[in-house]
Amino acid sequence: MSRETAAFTTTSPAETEWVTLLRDNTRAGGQGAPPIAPPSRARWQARIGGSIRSAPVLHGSTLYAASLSGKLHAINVETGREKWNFAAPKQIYSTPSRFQEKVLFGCDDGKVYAVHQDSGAKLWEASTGGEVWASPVVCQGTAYFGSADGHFYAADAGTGKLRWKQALGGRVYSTAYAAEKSIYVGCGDGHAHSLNAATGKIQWSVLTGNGIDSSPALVGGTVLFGSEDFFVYALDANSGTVLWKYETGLGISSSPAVADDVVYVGSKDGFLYALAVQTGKLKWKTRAGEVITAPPVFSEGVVYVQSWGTMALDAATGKLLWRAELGGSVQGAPVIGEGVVYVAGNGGEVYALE
Amino acid sequence: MQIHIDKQSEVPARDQLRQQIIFLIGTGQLSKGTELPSVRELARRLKVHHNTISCIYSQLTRDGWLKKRRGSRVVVGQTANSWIEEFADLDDLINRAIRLAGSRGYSLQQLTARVRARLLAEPSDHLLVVAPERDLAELIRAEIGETVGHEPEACSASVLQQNPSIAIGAILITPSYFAGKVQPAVPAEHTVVAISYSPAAEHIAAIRNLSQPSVIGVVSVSALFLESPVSSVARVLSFPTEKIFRTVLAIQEKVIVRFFSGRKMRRPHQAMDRRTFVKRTCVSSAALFLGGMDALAYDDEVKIPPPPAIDVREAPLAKRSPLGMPGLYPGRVVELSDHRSIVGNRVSQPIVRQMLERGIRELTGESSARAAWAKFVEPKDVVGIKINPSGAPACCSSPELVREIINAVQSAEVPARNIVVYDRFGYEMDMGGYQVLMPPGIRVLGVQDDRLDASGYDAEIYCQADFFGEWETRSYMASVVARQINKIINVPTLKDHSASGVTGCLKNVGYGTFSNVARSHRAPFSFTNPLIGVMCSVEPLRSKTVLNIMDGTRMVWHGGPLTQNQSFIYQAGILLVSTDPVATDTIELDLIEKKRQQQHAPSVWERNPKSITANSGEFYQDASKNLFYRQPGHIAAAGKLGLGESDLKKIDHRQLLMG
Repeated sequence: MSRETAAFTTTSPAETEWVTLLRDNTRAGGQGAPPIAPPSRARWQARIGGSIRSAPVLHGSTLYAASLSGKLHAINVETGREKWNFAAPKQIYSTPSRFQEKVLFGCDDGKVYAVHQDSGAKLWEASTGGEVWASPVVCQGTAYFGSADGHFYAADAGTGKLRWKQALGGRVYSTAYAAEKSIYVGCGDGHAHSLNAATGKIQWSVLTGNGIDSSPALVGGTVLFGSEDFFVYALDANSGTVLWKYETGLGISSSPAVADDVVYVGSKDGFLYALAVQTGKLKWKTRAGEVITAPPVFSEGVVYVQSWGTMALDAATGKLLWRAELGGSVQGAPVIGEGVVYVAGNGGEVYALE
Repeated sequence: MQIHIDKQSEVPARDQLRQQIIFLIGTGQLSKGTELPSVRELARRLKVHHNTISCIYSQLTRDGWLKKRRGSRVVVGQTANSWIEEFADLDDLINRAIRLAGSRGYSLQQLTARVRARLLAEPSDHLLVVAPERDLAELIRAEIGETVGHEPEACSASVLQQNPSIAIGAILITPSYFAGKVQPAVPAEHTVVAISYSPAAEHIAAIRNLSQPSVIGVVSVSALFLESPVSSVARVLSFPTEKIFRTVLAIQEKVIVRFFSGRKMRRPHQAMDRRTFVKRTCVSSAALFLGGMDALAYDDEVKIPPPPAIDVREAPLAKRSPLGMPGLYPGRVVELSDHRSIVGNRVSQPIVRQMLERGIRELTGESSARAAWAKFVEPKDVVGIKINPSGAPACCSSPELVREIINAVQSAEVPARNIVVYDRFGYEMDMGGYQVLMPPGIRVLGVQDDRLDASGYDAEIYCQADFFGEWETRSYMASVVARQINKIINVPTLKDHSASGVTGCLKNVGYGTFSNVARSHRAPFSFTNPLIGVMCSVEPLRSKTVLNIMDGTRMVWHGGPLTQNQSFIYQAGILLVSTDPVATDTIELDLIEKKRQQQHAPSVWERNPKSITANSGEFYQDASKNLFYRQPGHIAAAGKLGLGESDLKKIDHRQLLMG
């Protein structure tokens, strides 16, 4: 098998697009977006009536945010006003994901929904046997997602029709990394898996010391993720061989962001770590809060992370650049727009900081 | 130009003047182009120095409010509404209004009252359905939405009680029988529209005309609604029956299916009276509470108010379960110690498995763990595992231990679908990663999504007391405990608590089952004693709690319940297994006291006002400081309520060293 590199770099969306968790499948976060100065005010704030536990996504002038009220909200980024909402039967913990004209998300009723990005009209739904907290990831027309029922699913992103499903040993809350030929995903039983993208067949599995909530990133043939066993792992994408692992002070559910051969990842010990992708050597670590479970986001020399507020750190040194005491969440990831940072919080509030 | 300077005010004259001119412009009382008095004229009129006026005029000119015309006086430079356009953001508008009101001498309290009054006086802009419980409100909302083509908002009565401001701008819609209860909760001028259900006469007639003994199914999303047909049928059926035989055959999320047949039916009024009302004054608790203080009295001891009486409304049981607290083995606590159970702050699941097996066998005297577990759970049970995630991620019920308990419950042939891992707060469970780390097939449930979510509680079972004049004086039992599970395995952590002394078995299962419990402690005073014990005594919680497995792999000896400070978290490597929560908590209290003594921290019984701080940052860094006068007497008080043994000397404390 050829070495898989960031398969989507050639098809990266436009700069105002933020199609899935950490912007796109390169898992770089906001790389390429313009740098942002410390925010001086909130352009607007909106309350959407339910706790937000996932990251919003951005498309043009619309921000999509899902909440535990079971609604997916489309918000006009100019005004903060709602354009439409789609009411799912149960809570939504899943970060939405965009594909063509569709917005996809998982729901606690065990289904993945696709709704139209402009109207919120339901286009299709796909069923699993348990809650879907992971963000559905689309690659080459196929949506990939895990479920709490212990299975991993591949469905036609255009119709929702099931292509294959693969039984895994534990709950799957980790958002998959979908490359051209392989899918990489973590599992609640502690295994990291590589699945054949076409068939779902397990290509390799690596057992870590505890469950995996973190969503893997792939860069230069290396798969990176964190485990609840306190370690950051770097695996060879082809074989699963452990290239290096780095120990933090507590479990990791934060997902890594990768840029310029550096992997940024938070730990429940409250530190944000910057590690060299090739060696796992620590470049810096900064205490950003009591606990970090949210994925960091990288943008033009700045790393953003939420930990009961939003922080911006100098990507080269880890030095705190600014902190906004808004967005009381440790699950969400900020979305970097043009001169604006959008953050969502546990209280159901969404802010546009500028 | 109406300007007045209050020289007694703390607001400097300069600021008063500036704000008032802006206010006059902003409200249109000074229109664009209007000439302002000369500097000297205004200074003379207001009896302030002319330099003050000059300075204000210059500043307002710089800011664009005024303009200076060559050779003439300053004039207003903006239209009345231009500043409103500039501050189009709602927060900015509100901020501006607050500042202006302040400059006119209005207090924030006056402002709050007037804003609220004005909002209430505004015409309604939406419909709000209020019903006794959330599900019924949703049902009514959906039906109104279908009929009128516009879906109203909906909430339960308890949510409205907790947050009356949600009625602002709403026309309230409520069932006619409930209108009398809703009206007092909203201002008199508010419209409350009473609605009636369709009569059930057609359905009752059909039941009456049944030609043979039949089983009748009633389906609704509303648990409350289900009670009505049950009692209605009981009332109209005339054949001599003594007992309503009701079984919850299926509970799938919010759809509850109840079947009942007409044999041996009770009298209707008995059938309807399914709750009892109990008042527990807790005199014995109060005596213990004060007794504990006497033993450690300081010269400058603070006067701690006595606890109020607590009213309890609970579900009546035909017979209290012998498995319920204090359970099959009162006064017996098995303590297992194995240093290998936690290494480098990581819990070892294989070692915990060995400890758990050994502990359950020692507790029961059975030779096999499977036989031991069969004493507590049966294949038909729905088993709740009550964890404690509140200190996650630094210290919470270890997922490794919870996984082993699940394995053990499954070994007693309870299917995965009938196992629920639960706690009050979903977001704390997220922090502990339980959703991810539990095996597939079992349910992981947070009763509340956020602090105000009341939908997961049973309005019929509660403890009521007014501790500090709080608005909501009731704490309701979680529906999952009241209705869905029939056995509870309690898995607390071993940790101190700033208000109750320790948070062990009793607090985990009591405060973790009822809503609105934080109201029992307001710094520096705490009424966790006696509320913790009283809550544990409420049925069906008492009968359903059959086993306690305290996770002492980590011991928090200061900073509980939420600390993340590893300096106060000792990797103790122990488990406590018992059916008796009082005896277990008594051992826990002793362990924590010894550890605190070793660390030169004051006793959790200390009543020295000098140790109290209002600064939580200080509390989290300094083991000699605390936020409350702790009340560990709740353990002995629970013993007085019959929940277990609190005398350390009488406890059968079996200590097993495993590694």
